[in-house]
Amino acid sequence: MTSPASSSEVKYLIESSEGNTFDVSGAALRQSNTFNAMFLNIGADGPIPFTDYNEATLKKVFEYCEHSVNEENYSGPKHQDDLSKWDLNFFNEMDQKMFIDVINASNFLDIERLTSYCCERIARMLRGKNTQEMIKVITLPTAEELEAKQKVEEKKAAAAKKVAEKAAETAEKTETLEELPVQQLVQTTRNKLTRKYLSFSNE
Amino acid sequence: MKLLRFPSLVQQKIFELMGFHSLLILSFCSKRIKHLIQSLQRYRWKDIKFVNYSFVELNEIHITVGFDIKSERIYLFPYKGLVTNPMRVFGMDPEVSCSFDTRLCGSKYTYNTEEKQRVVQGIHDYLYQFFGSSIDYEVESMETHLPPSLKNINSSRIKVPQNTTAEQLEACFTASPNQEYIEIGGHFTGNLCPNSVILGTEYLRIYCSAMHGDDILLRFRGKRLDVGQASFHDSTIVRFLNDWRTNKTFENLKSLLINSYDYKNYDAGKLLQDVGIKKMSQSEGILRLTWQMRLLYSTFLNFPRPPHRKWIPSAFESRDYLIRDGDGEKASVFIEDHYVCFAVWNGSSCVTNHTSDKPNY
Repeated sequence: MTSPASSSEVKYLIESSEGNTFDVSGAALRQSNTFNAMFLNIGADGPIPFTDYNEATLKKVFEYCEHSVNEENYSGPKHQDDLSKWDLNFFNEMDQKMFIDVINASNFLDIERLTSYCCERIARMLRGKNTQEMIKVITLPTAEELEAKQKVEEKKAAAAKKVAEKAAETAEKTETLEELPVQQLVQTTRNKLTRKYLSFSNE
Repeated sequence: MKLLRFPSLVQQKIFELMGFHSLLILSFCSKRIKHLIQSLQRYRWKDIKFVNYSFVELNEIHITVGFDIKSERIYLFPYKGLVTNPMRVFGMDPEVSCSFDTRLCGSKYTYNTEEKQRVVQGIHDYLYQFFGSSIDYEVESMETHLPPSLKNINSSRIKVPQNTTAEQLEACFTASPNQEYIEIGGHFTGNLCPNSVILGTEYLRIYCSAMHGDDILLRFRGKRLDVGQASFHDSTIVRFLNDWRTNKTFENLKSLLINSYDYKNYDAGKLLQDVGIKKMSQSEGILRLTWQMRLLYSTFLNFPRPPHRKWIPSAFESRDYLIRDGDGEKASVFIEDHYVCFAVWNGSSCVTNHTSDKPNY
């Protein structure tokens, strides 16, 4: 199944968050510095658990690694215009959710080339834009949204204040009760119980 | 895509791949983003040496952020119509008249000239907070009116407009009275307020034509003074040398350079005869004194070779020197043609030259 890696033919089993497993070549896995640090020299007895990421994301990440096995050593982020057709297709066919998952997985696996290309793609989305356009890209709430949020929070705070005031009132009553001398308190309770007993027996 | 939810290594990589202007604009998006950029890009700001606010003609303002070996410029163009700030550029309120120049988004902004002080102070406050207080903040004015007075400024160069009063000039330094370096030129007439902060600045350079600089010299309280074009009465030079020698005033002074150009030639024999001057013998050689005088960083901005610098060496050679009463401090003096040079030994690099016959400037 898995063995200490030395040859590129060696296959490793990867386990995703769904518990599914799939094969990845040793050469592709070695692009991950996290893998190199954890398993390269000691090998793995069973599937390697990358269970924070789903199968689709991991497959996408290792698809990239398999493709770039024979590429020259990474030497800094490429300009988008210098990316190969395959690279462009690879990025373009991902939806935003997948793209974000791939960045996070690539960052965890410490795959420098893929992480940098993803970051370069985001940086490119932000370049040459004004504040409002940038806010849309990075999905920050706008001033209006913040205002609305603040209003909701103010309402919540007012409601919480009311609840707190009521609680304080109740506490005050309890305190008054606690302040009664013990004998008086016993008497009050007795009276209450007697009334209850009377009303019960009357029924 | 929620930038704030990315791991910080990813955020850092994204910021690294963004240019200065994009990053600055991104910082306007929210306080959290601004703090994130500040904390993740702090190493990048370490290369910043200075921020220069240059008030050029027709109310244009050029802001230069000078890194170690390069610089970035922000341009502010005046606009007479209504300018609002819905995008809160430089963290300013929406009603402040400053906004992106819609034609040239990035490094160019427009502002309403009636709010010049508020806009520039707002931008300066933002950059000061963003880059920190360890860098130099400079004001440079070449306009037909005086620049606004900004807080936390380290050095200024002001081309004084015609008919400027001493009070108007003094008002330029109200918000930052303790500057390290001030350079005054243009139509400066030599008139300063009685307790002018300009005369207390550590490094002062003054260029003023066809005027007498006597008052400036006698009231200077700083460390180094360079005066160009102005002339001085002989009695003022004699009084200055005597006052220093007798330890009466000028206790902070380290150097004085006067170059009166064609306005006056000084007679060394006459000026040095009654000031208790000492002379080094032929065998002792000639003393060469060298020190560093302050400048604005922007002075060398357009020089082809970085890095940016704010010091320029000054030097002269002389056999003549004075010994101060009380502490025995020594200072060399060189007077020839339109030059008067004075430098305290303690505060300069002193090298004895045995090969040169004649002292020079």
